[in-house]
Amino acid sequence: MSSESVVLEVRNLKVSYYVDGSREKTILKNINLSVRRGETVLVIGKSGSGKTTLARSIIGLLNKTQNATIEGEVLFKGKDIVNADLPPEEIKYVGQNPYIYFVEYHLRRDLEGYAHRYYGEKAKEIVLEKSRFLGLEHLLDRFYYFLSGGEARRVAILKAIITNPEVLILDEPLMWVDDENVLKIKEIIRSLRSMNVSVIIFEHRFMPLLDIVDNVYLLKNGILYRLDKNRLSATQAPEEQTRHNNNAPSMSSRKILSMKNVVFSYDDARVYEFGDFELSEKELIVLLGRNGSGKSTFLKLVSGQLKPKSGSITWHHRCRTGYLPQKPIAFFTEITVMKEIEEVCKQSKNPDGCRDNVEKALKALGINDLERSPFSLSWGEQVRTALALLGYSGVYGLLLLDEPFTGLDYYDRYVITGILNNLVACNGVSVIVAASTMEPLSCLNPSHVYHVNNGRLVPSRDQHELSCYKSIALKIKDIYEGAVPCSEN
Amino acid sequence: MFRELASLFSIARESRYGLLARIAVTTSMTTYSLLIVFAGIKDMLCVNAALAIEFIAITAILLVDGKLEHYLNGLKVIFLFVFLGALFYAFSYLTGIGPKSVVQVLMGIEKTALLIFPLTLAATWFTPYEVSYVLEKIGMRTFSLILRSALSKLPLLFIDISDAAHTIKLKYGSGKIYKSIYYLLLESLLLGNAYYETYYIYGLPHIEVELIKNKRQDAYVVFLAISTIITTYLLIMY
Repeated sequence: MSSESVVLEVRNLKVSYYVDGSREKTILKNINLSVRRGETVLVIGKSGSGKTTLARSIIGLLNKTQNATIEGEVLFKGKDIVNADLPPEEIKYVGQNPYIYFVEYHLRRDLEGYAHRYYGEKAKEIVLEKSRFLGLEHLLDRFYYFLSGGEARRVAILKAIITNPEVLILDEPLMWVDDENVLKIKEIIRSLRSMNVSVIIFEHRFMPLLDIVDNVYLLKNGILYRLDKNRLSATQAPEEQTRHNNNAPSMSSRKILSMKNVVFSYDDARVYEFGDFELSEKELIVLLGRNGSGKSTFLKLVSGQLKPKSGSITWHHRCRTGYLPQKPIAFFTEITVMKEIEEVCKQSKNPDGCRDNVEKALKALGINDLERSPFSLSWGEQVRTALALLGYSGVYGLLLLDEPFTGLDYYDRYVITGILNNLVACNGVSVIVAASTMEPLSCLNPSHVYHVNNGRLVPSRDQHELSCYKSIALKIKDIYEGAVPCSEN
Repeated sequence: MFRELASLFSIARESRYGLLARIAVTTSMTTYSLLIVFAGIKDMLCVNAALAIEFIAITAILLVDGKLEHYLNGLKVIFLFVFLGALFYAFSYLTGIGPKSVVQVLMGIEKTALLIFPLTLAATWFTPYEVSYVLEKIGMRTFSLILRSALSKLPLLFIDISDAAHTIKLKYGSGKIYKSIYYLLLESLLLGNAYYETYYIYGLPHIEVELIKNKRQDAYVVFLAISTIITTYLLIMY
C-alpha cells in the first residue's frame, strides 16, 4: 500500500473509560488501521466490542462527550487530529441515531443553512445538486422527526457529504433500514466510492455490504484484526432450507381479537386502511413492511394506544398485552435486572414461580449478572432480557414486538427467533412481530405473514422458502467469540 | 398525546406575510390590548367592543394567511386555563373573598382574553426558527443558541415520552407511568449529548428569513398596524 494514498491512519490507539468514578476499563487496547483514498472498509464485532468507541475516537468526539482517556494517534493526511478542537471538515461521521444531526425541523432549511456556511449564496443550488445525486430531493420539504429510519439515515448521509468530505464514517448505517433502503444505502456508498471518498463502516448486519467493501476488520478484545473477506462470504451459502407454510392454528385455538375494516389516519396525507385481521391463541404473526408502511401504527392500534377512525376492534378473550418498542431501553424501569423481575412478577398469580421461570430463561439466554443495570446492557442483551420478562413471566398473553431484530448481530437475531418460536409453541403466548427485513423471518415459524404496504394489510400467500441463517449465525458467533482467527492488522 | 405535541411543531405552511409585517401586527395587537387593559376603562360595553374588534381583526388576517385553524386550536388549550381561572374567580366571589361584583369578574376575564389573543397570534405566526433569528439580530445570540438547542430535539423527546409511557402502561398498568422516569432522564441526557455532537460536527445552520415577502401586501399590513396603535391611543386619551 503506497503511504501517499493513505488518508487516515490510526496508530496504537488505546481508549479507557473510568467506571464508577475510579476504576479504569480499557475498551480499545492497541488499534492500528490505515485507510486509503477511495477505500471502503468494514469493521465488525459483537455488541459491546467497542465499534462505536472506535468510530467516535477517530472523529474526536469521545474525549469531548465522555470521560475517556485516549492514547495514540489518529492521523489525517499526516496530521494528528485526536485532540483537535474541531474535527477536520474533510471527515464526517453519521452515528447510530440519524435523527440527531438536524437542528432545524424543516430539512431544506437545515441543509441549506448548513451549506450556507461553506457556499454562501450557492447553498440552495448545492443542496439541490447533492440531494438529486442521492435521489433524496423528494424529502427536502419534510420535517426530520417524521422521517422513517431509512429516510433519516439517507438524509443524514446527504448532510455529511455537502462539504465533499474525504472520509465518511458510518456507524450502523443499516440499523432500522428495510430491505429496499439497504439497496439505496449501498448505492450511496458505491457513489461515494466513485467520488474517491473513503468510507469506514461499522455494522452488525454486514452481509449485504460484503460485495461493496474492500477490506473487513474484526474488532475483538480491544484489538483490530484483518479478516479474509471470502471467509465471511462463504457463510452466505444456504445450508439449511426452512419452509414456512403459514401454519394456521388448530381449530381448537381460541380467538383473541378481530379487527373489521379498520382505518386510521394521523392526518389527511397518511391514511392507513388496515382492513380485517384476526388473532388466535398461540399464533405468531409477522407484519413485514418497509419503513413507514404502518407496522408500528398497527401495533399501537392493537395495544389501544391509538383509536381507529373507523371500523372496529373486538376482543373475544382479553389478555394482558406486553409491548417491546423499537428502542428496547424504553422497556426498562428499574435499577437492576433483578428488580425488573420482582416488579413484573408482583403482577403474577404465582410470583415465586414467575421469578424462577424468568431467572432460568435469562440464564439460558446468557444474562447471568442480575444485579446489573438494564440500562447498561448491550442492545442485544436488552432485547433478550425484555423478551424473557414478557414471555416467561406468565403475566402477558399477547406480545407486540416492534422491530425486535434491528441493531442485533446475526447470532443475537438467531437467538431471538428461537425464543419467539419457543414462546408460542411451549408457553402458549401469542406474538405479533413487526419487521422491516426478510432475513430474521427465515428462522421464524410464523402462523401468518402479512405484508404491510402503504397502510394496507395483505396476507401473504407465498410459501416462504428461505435459508435459515443458523449456520451463518453460529459461524459468526465462532468468529466473535472463538480463538483469534486472523492476523492483527 | 405526547406524539400529537410533537406534531404541533410542524408549522407546515409558510406565512404569506414577511417577518417585519408579522412583527408589526403582533406588536400592534399587543400594544392595543395593553392600552385597553391598563387605561382603567370601567365601561363593560367598551371592553366588549375592544375584544370583538381585536378578535375580528386577528381572525380576518389569519383567514387570509390560511392559519386560522392553527390559531383556533391554540386558543382551545389556552381557554381551558381561562375557564379554570373563571372558576376560581366565581368561587372567590361566592365565598366573599374576591371581587365584589359579577361585572368585575366578567371584565377580568375579558381583559385576560384581550391579552391572550395577541400572545396566541405570536405563537401561531412565528416559528422557533424566526424567533432565533430575531434574538440573534437584537444581539441576544447566547439566548438564541439556548432556544435553538432546547427546541431542536424537543419533538424527539415528545416521541420518546409517548413511546415510554405507552410501554410502561402496558407493562405495569396505567397507575405506574411515572416508572419511565429513569429512561426519560437518561434519554434527555443523551439528547443533550446528541445536540453537542451535532454542534461539534456540523455547527449551527445559518438562519435566513424573508423580512419582506410581498412589498405591497406587507406595506398595507404595517400601515394598518401602526394606524391601530395611534387610533387606540387617541381614542383613550381624548
